[in-house]
Amino acid sequence: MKRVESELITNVEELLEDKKIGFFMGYENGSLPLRTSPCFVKEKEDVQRLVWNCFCTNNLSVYLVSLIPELPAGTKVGILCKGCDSRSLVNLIVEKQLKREDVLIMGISCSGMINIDKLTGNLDGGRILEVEENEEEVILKLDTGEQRFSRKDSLYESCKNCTHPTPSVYDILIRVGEHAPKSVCPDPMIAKFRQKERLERWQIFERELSRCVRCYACRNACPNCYCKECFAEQTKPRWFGLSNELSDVLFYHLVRILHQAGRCVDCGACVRACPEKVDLRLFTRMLVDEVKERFDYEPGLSPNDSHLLGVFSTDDTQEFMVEVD
Amino acid sequence: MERPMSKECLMYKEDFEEFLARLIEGHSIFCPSGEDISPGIKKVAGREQFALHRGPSHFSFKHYFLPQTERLFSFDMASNKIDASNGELDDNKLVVLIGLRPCDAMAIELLDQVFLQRGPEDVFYARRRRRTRIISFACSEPRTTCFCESVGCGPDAAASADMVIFALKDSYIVKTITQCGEELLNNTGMNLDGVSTEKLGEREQMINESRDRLEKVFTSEDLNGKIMDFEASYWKQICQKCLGCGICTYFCPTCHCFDIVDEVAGSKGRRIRSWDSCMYPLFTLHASGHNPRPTRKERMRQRIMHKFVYSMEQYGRRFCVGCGRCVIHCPVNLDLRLVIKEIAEGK
Ligand code: SF4
Ligand code: SF4
Ligand code: SF4
Ligand code: SF4
Ligand code: SF4
Repeated sequence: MKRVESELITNVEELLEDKKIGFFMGYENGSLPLRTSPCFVKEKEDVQRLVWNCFCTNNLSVYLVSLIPELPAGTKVGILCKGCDSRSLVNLIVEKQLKREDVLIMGISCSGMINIDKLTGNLDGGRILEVEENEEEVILKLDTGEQRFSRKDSLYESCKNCTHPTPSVYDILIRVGEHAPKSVCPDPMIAKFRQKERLERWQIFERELSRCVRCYACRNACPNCYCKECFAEQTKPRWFGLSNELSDVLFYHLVRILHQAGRCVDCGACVRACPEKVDLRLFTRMLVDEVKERFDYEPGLSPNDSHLLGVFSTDDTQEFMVEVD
Repeated sequence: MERPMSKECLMYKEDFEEFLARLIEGHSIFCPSGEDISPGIKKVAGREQFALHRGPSHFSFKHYFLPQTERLFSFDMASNKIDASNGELDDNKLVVLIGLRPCDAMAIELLDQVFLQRGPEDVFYARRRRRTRIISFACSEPRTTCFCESVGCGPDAAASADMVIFALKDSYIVKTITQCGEELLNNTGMNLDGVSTEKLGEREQMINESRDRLEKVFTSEDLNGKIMDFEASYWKQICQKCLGCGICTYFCPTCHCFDIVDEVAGSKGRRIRSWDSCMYPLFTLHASGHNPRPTRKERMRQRIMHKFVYSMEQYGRRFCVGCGRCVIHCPVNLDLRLVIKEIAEGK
């Protein structure tokens, strides 16, 4: 990882120095063990703060739409993108929220992000002093000894079944191993879910959503949720109630999820932001699979793509319109 | 709120189990819910549902006093009737909250300021608060996110507790703080011994170790003096990576903002209040369409200044108890402690 980090730092230093970018978004070490935090760099002396490791979980594309208009006109923004983050960015271009020339994409071919909960589950109060990682393992050095975790088993669900670990579009690419696109459809978890009885599916839905505290972090962490006024905040009319009762919570989620059709890139940012660990991916990934199966479409692969919902084609499948049983 | 009555006695593991069993038998006991059910502070049906967490529990006890959604009353305009009955509150039965850490006990003291002590009493809060007894547990193992001492609380602070329990290695020291706490202990009919000097020594050591483990990213000195400036340029910097979600306020044990709406269908309806957060754009949106806090900068400034400046002016207290929940859950790791420190250092 040290190699990647120094490549990253050298690149950003040069880009800032040559005035090819005026601003860079990456990650820095967080204030807590196993956490990073978004890091915005303008000056050369801050470049050393940048890091790259298996905890760079935020999808930085979420900042682009609001950030760019605030910067001096013509400022090019450099952004560190994992595979999924780059697809979010590309989707913003397709949706005309962003211009390709306003960003410089520093892609990184990604080995997947590690689910912190899987590491901290049984530390028995040991304090984390140091973390090391290689292609196979994540090693925690605790004051009580050392613990090793298999990387493969500790990935986030979205990363386990990632289809495009290498950015779809980039200006500069930092390589961390070979990560060719792969097809995962349907996602094994979704396949299992689909086999369940309708009642059981409903119970799972209910169980997950009853934990929701309506903090809206899932929405705010998602690059697709850039609406200046979200339906959840409209008051004229108010589309649904204010309460945290299931009917209101359900309404919020159904609409948010449906608004992701043909747009969600399964980056997992919403899941990771959720303080209640609601399994939101169960719903969004279901849509990702449906979109792939029905329309053979994956969002965020090329800025020249047409938007799935923006195109009408006479051979689109339409059976959902008359589904009865 | 009442005459202090401090008394200490010792419980061994068996005594403690017996004490819990008797408490659960004779009272409504509420404690933080486990991971699998809807959020909040929930009624405990049996011993197995009560477990102590390392540091503060996932949910703060605000969930109990100020439920996320509460029906204030319902009405029927056709018959001109208002129904303000409240099944949960009408029976006035004693409720015991158990498992708070000192920070959460202090947060209740602060909520008392808002809902009981300044201005008109909040009826719902008052009814819950007056029928409630509080049993807190001193902290032996703070989390890396705890900073209670930096904000004037501490691992052995009693604050609003009626009874504080110190869990030692193989025994418990029970300290009653108020007369209510004393009664609660007497009601269980436990026959307990006093505390030996040896056990008192063990407690002192535990608390000292706890103190040593606490993070001191900033100190209480950093908060003295006029450290925060409404007009300062740093707010723009601080808010930069904030996503504007409600996590830091919803998980905070002292945040208490709510919105009130009428939900009407036909002639019938109900008035409810639900939590709100100053981090949301709708929070200060005027009917005219003007919003005095149009961006995250103003919202972030409000959250921090309300906790550390305005509350001092209004109540003489800081509205942060150092529980660290906002630090733990912030999705971008925007750490309040670092924000305070940066402000104090004038960055
Ligand atoms: S809905 Fe979730 S997984 Fe999908 S793009 Fe948004 S943040 Fe990523
Ligand atoms: S982040 Fe989680 S708790 Fe917050 S609104 Fe989304 S699902 Fe609910
Ligand atoms: S939890 Fe973090 S991201 Fe969310 S509003 Fe608070 S500071 Fe901002
Ligand atoms: S501001 Fe953060 S640390 Fe302070 S009381 Fe609220 S949640 Fe706890
Ligand atoms: S910080 Fe914000 S949400 Fe919390 S009490 Fe103050 S204004 Fe209300």
